[in-house]
Amino acid sequence: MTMSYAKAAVGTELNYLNHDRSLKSWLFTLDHKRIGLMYLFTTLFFFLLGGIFATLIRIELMTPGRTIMSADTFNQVFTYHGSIMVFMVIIPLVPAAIGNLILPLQLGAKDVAFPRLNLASYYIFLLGALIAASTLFLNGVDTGWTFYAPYSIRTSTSTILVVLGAFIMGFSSILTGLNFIVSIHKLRAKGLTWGRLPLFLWAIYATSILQVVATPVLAITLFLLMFERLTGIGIFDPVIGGDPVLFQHFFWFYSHPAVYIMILPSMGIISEVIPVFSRKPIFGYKAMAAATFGIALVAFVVWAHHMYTSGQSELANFVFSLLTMFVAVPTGVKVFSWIATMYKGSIRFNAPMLYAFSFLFVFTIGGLTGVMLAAIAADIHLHDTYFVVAHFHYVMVGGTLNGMLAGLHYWFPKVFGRMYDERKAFISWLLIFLGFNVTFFPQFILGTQGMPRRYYDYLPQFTFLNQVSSVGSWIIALGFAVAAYNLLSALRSGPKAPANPWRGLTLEWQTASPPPHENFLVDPIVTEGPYEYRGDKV
Amino acid sequence: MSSTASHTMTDLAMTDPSLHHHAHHFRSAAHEFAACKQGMWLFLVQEVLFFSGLFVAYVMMRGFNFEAFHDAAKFLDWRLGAINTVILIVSSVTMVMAVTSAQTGKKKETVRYLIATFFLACGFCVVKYFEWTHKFHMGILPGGSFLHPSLFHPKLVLSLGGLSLLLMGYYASQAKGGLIGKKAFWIYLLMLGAFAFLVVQYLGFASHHGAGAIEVHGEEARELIARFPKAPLFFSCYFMMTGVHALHVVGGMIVILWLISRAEDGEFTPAYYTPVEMVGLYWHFVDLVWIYLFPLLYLVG
Repeated sequence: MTMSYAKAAVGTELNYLNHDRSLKSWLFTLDHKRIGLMYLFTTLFFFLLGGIFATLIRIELMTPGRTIMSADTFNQVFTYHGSIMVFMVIIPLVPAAIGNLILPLQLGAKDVAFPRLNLASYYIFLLGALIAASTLFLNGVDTGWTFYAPYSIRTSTSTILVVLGAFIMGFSSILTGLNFIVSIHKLRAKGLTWGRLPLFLWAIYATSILQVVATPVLAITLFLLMFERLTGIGIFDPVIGGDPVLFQHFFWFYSHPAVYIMILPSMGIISEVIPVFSRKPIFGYKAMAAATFGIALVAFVVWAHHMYTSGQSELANFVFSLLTMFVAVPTGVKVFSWIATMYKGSIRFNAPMLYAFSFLFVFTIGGLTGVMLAAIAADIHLHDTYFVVAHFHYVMVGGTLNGMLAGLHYWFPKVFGRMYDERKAFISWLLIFLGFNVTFFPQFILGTQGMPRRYYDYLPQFTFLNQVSSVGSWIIALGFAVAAYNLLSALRSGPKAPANPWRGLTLEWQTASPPPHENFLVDPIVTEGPYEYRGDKV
Repeated sequence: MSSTASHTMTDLAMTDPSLHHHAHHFRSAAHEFAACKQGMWLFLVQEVLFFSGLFVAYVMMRGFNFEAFHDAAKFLDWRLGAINTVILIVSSVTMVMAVTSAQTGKKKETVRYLIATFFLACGFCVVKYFEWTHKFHMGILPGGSFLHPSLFHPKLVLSLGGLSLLLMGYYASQAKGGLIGKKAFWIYLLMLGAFAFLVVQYLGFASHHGAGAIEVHGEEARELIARFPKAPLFFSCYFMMTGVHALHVVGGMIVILWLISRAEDGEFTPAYYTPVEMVGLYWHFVDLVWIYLFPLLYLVG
């Protein structure tokens, strides 16, 4: 992409961070970059909180029986770990935080379509998160993050408040998706045709559709659950004649697309990073964009693969199993295209590329184990065991989180105007990669041996692998600590970043690091695709 | 929701309300209008999905309890439902007239049609209020509360009503001095009257003690539940569906009041009538949902 712009970018003092330093200018900002930062720090804070709960789980599971807490407390701890990580971290993190920071820049726009709605979305998110987190000081919640009826109707914990919090946070997700769709349609720079759209934006587009269409179904489910507890509506309660399996259908109709909300943006990041650090165009651009939408489409028709053992008909099981297998096709297209992109490329092993490598390795394992679970005969035995736990952590942590870390390091210079230290980044990457596999690979084995999930106690023969897993969790924690130290010290005293440290070709690199308040000094004009690494651009 | 929050708002727009300065990241007012329209349609898509959950629940519950639903629906008066249907359809017409008036720069007519829409929506809420309270007095309450009335429900509903009025008053006041000194000022008095009415009702319920404190004439309800133990599920669907719909009507009323205030200020011109058009789209959606609700709930008995 060649474009005309004033080369006053590097060295200019005034940028979106420092042009107005008052608190009011931050609290009432309409700047998508500042809103993105607020999302980033809020979600990372909740990531720390959710991680603390994870560590507590793993400490408790070091020994069979009681280790540090009662069984009831354990139920609350894993519920908070799940709810916090799903609703307050992994759903908003890449779309809302990184999306807000980068989307308008990659579009060549001055902001998102509806900046005030954007700010409102952030405060809605914060409100919902605080309401849900307040229950930590009240009666807690012990239903598991899935809130299955009828237990969620009967339990005496603060279920209504957590559910209300999730309900409110859902609107943030919906409105952000709405904002991004309109932005991509209406605010593209001159020359930025659909065929030249960066794959990160294709991913955000597909994710936004999922957010707008799927999240309202969660909203009504949670709404009905709240009123179930308040007024005893009964449609999920067998005592009054309702159907608890109906709750599961309602819940998973959202929550399955939700997991694709979690992974698609990270896949988009990988699609950005690999071409840049291989100095090669992406393999199969059109197929990659189509595969993104293929995944989003299939996402809507597979929800009941979470319910093979719920008592639904064999026909239902068969249909959902078959449809679930289909999602492997577009996913495979993406994985093979990424590998083909690297083939005969000139690979540079900066931190973003390291995370892309670990993404490919770990996500593939996660995806393949998903296909294993899609098979009914296997799932009958593996449902609600640690095999499932390992599967979704491999795709969510291994997939989404590695993608997020790749994006965080890739766009760190752009967003903050500083370079991080590559050696510390390598150490943190290695610790996270090793720690992650040490934590979660044993759980595949534990699952096949029959250890159930959400269980406080377990048979003595499972002790060794549980302890290995727990030690792994400390290694991950250490890795994140090093990463945090690296990035925070880079914020303070890292070397100043140039406008385009990675020599990328997408629009965000054609403006200063950090960008000025209005993003571009001159409206950019696009003349070629985003991955044209040929000739002098290699 | 003031119109003064765009990046480069100048004093020019503040002095002449009809001079709309479109947000700086759009090329033109037309560009902004197209984007807003797309955004509103997307919002309506998600609203459809939101209501669809309720419709699916209804379909499932009715499928499992067909005869119970048939008999339970007899407790609904289809004539009241029909009145509400007509009210909403007419309000959609007045809303369209308001949009057209704004589009052609007819300020007085825009205000008049918006007020008419608001009034019709009030009528809808009044009919709904009497339908619901009549049911409460018969002991007909959602699901598990059927024939076990607790003070919770009337007080909850009344509180929501009061809260709605407060929000309406707040948003009516938002645009440049609100309705004070304007022709629509009497709407404030109307809201005050309604609020006082709700407070009196609330205090009436608050003074009752113990179970069965609401006067319940539950003979028919008892007879129904004896024949069909799962009949309360119908009323769960009824209260949830009409309740969520009513919340959307109230939300629309709040926004219409804000529009009235801005229209009286002369903010809408042929060059800029985006908010009126957007609210119009929303209002048609609210009407459409009711068109689906009416036969499913009122015409199955």
